[in-house]
Amino acid sequence: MRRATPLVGRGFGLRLGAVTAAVTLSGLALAPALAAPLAQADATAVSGSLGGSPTDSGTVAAVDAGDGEQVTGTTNPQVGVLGNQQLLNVGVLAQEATARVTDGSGASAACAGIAGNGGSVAQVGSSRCLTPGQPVGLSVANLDLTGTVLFDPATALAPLNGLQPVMDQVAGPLTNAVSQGLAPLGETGLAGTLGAVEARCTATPGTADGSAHLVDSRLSLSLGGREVEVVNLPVDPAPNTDVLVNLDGVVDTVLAGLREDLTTTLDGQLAPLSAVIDPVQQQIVDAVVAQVAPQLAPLSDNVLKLVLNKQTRTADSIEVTALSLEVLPAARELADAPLATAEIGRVRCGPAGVVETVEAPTTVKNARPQPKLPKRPTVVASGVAGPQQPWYDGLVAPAALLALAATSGAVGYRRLTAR
Amino acid sequence: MTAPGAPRSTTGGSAGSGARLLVLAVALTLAALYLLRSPGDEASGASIAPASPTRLVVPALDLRSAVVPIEVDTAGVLYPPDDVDLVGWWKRSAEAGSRHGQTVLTGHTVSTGGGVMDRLGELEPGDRIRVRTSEGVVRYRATSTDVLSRAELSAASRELFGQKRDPRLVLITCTDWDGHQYESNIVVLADPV
Repeated sequence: MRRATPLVGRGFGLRLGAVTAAVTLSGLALAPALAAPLAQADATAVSGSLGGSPTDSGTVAAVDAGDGEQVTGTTNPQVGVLGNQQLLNVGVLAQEATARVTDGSGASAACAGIAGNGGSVAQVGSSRCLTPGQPVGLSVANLDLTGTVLFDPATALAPLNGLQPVMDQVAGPLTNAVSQGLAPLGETGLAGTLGAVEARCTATPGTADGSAHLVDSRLSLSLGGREVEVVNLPVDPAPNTDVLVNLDGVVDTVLAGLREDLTTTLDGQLAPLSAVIDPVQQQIVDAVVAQVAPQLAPLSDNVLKLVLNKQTRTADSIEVTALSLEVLPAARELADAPLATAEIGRVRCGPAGVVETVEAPTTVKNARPQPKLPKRPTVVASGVAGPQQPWYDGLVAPAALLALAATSGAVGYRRLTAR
Repeated sequence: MTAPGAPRSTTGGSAGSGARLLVLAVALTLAALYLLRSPGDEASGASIAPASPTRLVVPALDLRSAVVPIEVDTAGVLYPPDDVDLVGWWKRSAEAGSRHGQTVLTGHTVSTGGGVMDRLGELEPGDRIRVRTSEGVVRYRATSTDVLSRAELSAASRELFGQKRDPRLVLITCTDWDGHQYESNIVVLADPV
């Protein structure tokens, strides 16, 4: 009895421990729902920085940590949220995100972009989230080309400053006139039209995918009233498509304008002597253009950087920007330099997870540890009782011998008495 | 009669030569059998890798039996295999050939005869015992045969079944059948040769 008590106490302790473990594991099974998100996505229709002033349409974000979808932010902001800007005229901004946990598995989707007037927002998760409207005007940047000292030497347009010493050397007293003659080139704008630009993404556990789609979208450069088409944007660009902007046309336009204005200016200044100096004038113009042209070449590398369907991904998440634009990227590090950036349609999806299913013990019985075997034997039970023997077992043989002997004796006695 | 030193008759010489040839042939055959014997037959406990016992041979008792692993129950009772012709090896005891610990084997005694260890009490110190494993044969020589009451055996469990000691073979069966139960155990101890 004295030994029974601690044994009962030990068993109760084991059961109590098992119950505690079961409750703890059950809690752990529910814990993931309160921890990391199982599905997440966000979307931003437009963001950018114009003249050093950041602006964006805000971001809508959706998260589901297993306790239902939580959405923050505005899904379809008005263009007015961009403030006093010249990037977009009017149009429709769209940004949608959704995140759900279904059957223990997280999934998210997002769509963002802009559409022209008359466009509309479709359901997120559909093949397209925007219906194109009339192409909306896009005014990316305006470059001030006026003034005698035309450009900050630190900017990408510095090569145009080479014009000044050329003028001084060749035309001398005509410098001012030439400078004035460049005035029509002073207003240079990078603009375009966009029918619709959108980025989409989806994410499920272990996977993420995204794409960009553009409709009726092009960029152009206006120089002194001349419109130079820079690029027609592809409809379904491959991931990270670097758009090669054809600035040769821009350079040609600049040079043509320069030639025309030089000629006009010289004609005005030298009109009385035109018959004599025409050949000389031509030489002057040719010389100036010849000197300026090579110095315009760096424009091709530094004026515009455009990437479509810009993607950054990990194994289970993705960020997609439909159109990423930088004007004067070489001046990025100059706080007061002309600089414009724009991102149209940026979405992020994932990572997504699954609900961790920790097997909670179904019964306390299953959690009970196996009984521990003794360290060594204390009894060796290696004896077996043989089969039960009848009472006469062991007497049969002697009795038979006795009977045999008696019989033999009787037979012998008879034979002897018979003789 | 043939005088000492007289040459043997031809016939007698042929018969003697044939006998010598027969003896030589037998000797060569035995030598060949010796050379062709399996390596395991030669291996001793000191030279083979430890392994579970698979067979027990005690020539003095004419005991040859297969060995199977067994385990104690939760009450600490070690039961041999149900088959009274088999010997059980307590599987938490030392493997045969181990450099440490005791190899514990037990088999049944049957009150009416027929148990594999009915005659274990007849074993005397010096008798040879062989335990075969998958690695070879481990040879032992008996050092003692004792009868212990159940209480004595329980008290000596550390001595008989503990594993923190030099290698040793322990053979156990029951004895002292009183018509209802066995009152004692026979314990044979043997050291590896």
